Amino acid sequence: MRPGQGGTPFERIGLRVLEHLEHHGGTAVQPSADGDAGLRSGRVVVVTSTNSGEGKSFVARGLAAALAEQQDGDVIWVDAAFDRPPADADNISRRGAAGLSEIMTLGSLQGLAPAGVGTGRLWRLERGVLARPALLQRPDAVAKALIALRAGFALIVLDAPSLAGCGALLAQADACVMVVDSRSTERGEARRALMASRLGPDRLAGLVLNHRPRPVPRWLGGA
Amino acid sequence: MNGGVFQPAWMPREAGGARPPAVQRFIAVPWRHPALILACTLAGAGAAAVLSQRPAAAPAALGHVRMQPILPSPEVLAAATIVAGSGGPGLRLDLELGPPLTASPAEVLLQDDDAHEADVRDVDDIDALLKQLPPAAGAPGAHTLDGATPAADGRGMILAPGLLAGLLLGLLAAAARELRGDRMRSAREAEWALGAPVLGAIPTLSARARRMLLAPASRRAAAERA
Repeated sequence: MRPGQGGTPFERIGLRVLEHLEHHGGTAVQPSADGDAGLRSGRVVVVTSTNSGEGKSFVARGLAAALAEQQDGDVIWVDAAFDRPPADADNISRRGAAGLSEIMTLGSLQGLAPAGVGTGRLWRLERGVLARPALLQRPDAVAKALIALRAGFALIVLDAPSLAGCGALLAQADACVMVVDSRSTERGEARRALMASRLGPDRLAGLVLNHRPRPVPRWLGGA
Repeated sequence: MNGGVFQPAWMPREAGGARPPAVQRFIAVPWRHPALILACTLAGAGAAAVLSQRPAAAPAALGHVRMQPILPSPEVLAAATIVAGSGGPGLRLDLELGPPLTASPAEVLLQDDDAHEADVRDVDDIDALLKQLPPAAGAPGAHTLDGATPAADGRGMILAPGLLAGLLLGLLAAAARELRGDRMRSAREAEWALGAPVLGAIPTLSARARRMLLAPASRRAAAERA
């Protein structure tokens, strides 16, 4: 399947992201201790938006599931949205188990769990109990966590905070997907956030329009 | 740099789309909000129908006329005229009186088809006119208008402007909803505004559709087969 053909929206988005990654640094390959592939590390895909509540988590989860089916390596879906309270399903964090924040601060890789959806190659990592928005502003902590994750997974899909709160995550991203909510995202605000983030076309894979309204047909002058 | 804010070279400063977004939005107004426009149109028609009921119940439009036996203010009758004319089944009685006459009415009905016409200058004029008519059975002080049929009440003429007003109101409401704020309502508009490609678009989905979308392909296929 190629972009623009059939499949779910997430499958089409996943193909476009893989194309972007391939165009900017080569195909995502499962890291391994053996052979040439061992020299490579996983690629980081950051899913962000202008403000919170625009559908980042939904897109990140769907994108991670689609990517797990579209390539051969392991994919991990990471909850890095430290700027919002954990979701109801985030039982691991509420029980005090380790997550991304523990990897960032302690280097512990505990907390990894199969995502339970898609192929067996899809994993998930919750935020952990030490999650604080300020933690994402520490480049050393972010780099430490992502080095650990890159060593174990072909693709790391980060459910990140809004652009202003991403901090050091953006500098580590190989591809950034920006979610735009057609119902709430203001054009000027999104432009300002995007400009302030200093993302270039090499790292900004593209936009995902969430809550797309009914498209205008071509015969009415629509796209 | 742009006033101290980083401006990527690839981000367009001005619109780059083939069609200005405002035009796209304008076209999208009726297309994206048909339910809202239809609801407003029907509401306008309903309001017109309700309004049309009020003159239908008033004495002037129907052959079945209601009058008040005791008039509270005779002054309002200064310009009143009663015209009762024969026209076969279309016997019609037009009454032009002030609003106080519509309160606590007594029925005035005619049994003959003779023309009755009188200028009403006072309460006594009405009484004199009514005394020419035979009293209605079972209704003291009332009269019968035999064979009378309701005259055309002009409801269609009221419904049409009501529909039009409702349609305009619906279009205005839809336009306000569609054009409100500075949002990006289509993939082309998002590309135009942010200068980045749109990888995909996700429509507004129900909770069940969202779960299905997140389910693995094998499970989706099984659900589609089922």
